Amino acid sequence: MDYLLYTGCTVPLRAVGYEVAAIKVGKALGVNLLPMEEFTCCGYPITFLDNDSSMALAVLNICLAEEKGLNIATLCNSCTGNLTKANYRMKTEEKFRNRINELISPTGHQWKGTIEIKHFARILYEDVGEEKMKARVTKSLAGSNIAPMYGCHYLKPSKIYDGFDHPDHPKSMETLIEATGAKPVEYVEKTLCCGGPILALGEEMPMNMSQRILDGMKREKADVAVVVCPFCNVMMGEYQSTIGDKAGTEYGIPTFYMPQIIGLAFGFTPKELGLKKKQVKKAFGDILEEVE
Amino acid sequence: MTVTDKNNVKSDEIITADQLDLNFKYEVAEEIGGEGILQCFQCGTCTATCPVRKFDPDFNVRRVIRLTLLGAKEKVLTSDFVWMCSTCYSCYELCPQNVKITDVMTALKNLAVKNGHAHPNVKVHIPILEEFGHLGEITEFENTIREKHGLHEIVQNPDKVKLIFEKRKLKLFMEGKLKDEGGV
Ligand code: SF4
Ligand code: SF4
Ligand code: SF4
Ligand code: SF4
Repeated sequence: MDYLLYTGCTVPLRAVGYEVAAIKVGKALGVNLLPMEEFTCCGYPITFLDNDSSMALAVLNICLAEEKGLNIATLCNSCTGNLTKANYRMKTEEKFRNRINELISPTGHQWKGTIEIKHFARILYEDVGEEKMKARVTKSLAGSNIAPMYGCHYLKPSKIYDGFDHPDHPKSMETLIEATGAKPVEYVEKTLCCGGPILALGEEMPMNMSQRILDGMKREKADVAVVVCPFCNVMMGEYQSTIGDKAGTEYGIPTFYMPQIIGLAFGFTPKELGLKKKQVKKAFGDILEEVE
Repeated sequence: MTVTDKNNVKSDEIITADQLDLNFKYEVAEEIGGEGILQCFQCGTCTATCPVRKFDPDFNVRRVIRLTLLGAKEKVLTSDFVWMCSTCYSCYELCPQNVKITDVMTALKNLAVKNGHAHPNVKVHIPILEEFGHLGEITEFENTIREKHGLHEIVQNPDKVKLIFEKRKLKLFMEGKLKDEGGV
């Protein structure tokens, strides 16, 4: 299975380890994530200013992939959302299609409707499947309790995602966690929004929103959190100690990207997954005897 | 004491008919998936599920919709609330009337921009995209790290992004000088 890897803006700037791990894990499972230089921003952040421009940027990137004849694999929830939404509307709304084709016409591209967009986690869940993943595990993560953090745009709006998972009671991330041997932690906050998109307007609200999620993980005794979006990681990981200070607690929940925990279970070294040995030891020290 | 809440309505202020723009709801309905607004029957499910509302009781999305339907155009378009929607789609999933509230909130933001009220912290994205084609610059620093991990080099090229923005006359749009016939 070949896909063009759409990294967007946040992954190369803040989450190179996510990209590295996804490529390695994909390869181990027969999913080739191919590089594509011409991709630009998906347009999500300018949705708020001008949705027309936002949708046009999304469609531009879809066209670039169409011309290569390959589907897109994504790593960021918001890229996934914007690209999928644009593709869905191009397919279902004639007025929208004409208008966006007109907007992108100076670039020389036209939308044809020949490709699909899928989040890498969805590809693992839907196209590879739990059994194939389990067969590849050499270092089980059994004994670790891992909290899945879905975020919003990976699942919602559900109508654009062909119902591959339930918007309020999803199970795709749990399935992938189980494949590593670890135990998924159940907590009601797992699909809540971290507030990342409104971070530019002030830190307080996103920090409150993220605290609610972290509190849920802590209440259910998660050892580790796993995310499928670089921005979810900004809030759950990078902001965790600041949020803890404000809440008067220390969460101590190391955050990893989904392909990184799968990669550890597949026997890749931390370095091969863009991780530090110390980080992995702290989170899985008791379980993985040898961390090289 | 007069308290102004985030919906920009003073607590002791009464909205009178002469301040209302009865056409406003149709303007919204013509925007980006804004058409659902006319279906709202004010049940409040959206407000109950909103994660922003949880931490600021002033952010009441049902009320924003009501104000819009009434025609309180100035109040809605200059309010902070439209910018505080985090686009989480929780309300969108649950609305019994398929109002597609997240899209309505986006329509309201876009209309605020068209009327010259773009939020300054959000505006900054445009010049960055025009310069790099992405929401930030990829420098030699990032590319060296990429090389170490065996990843391909990223060479940014904003040309096509700029062509689209020019076609859209985005500059005029941002200055509130472009009134187009409604978004998509
Ligand atoms: S969603 Fe964010 S990371 Fe993804 S391409 Fe758009 S701006 Fe960049
Ligand atoms: S949880 Fe935050 S970062 Fe993740 S998808 Fe939602 S808004 Fe984006
Ligand atoms: S949930 Fe839908 S119908 Fe109910 S108040 Fe909100 S927008 Fe209106
Ligand atoms: S989409 Fe916006 S209004 Fe709706 S629940 Fe989420 S934050 Fe609240």
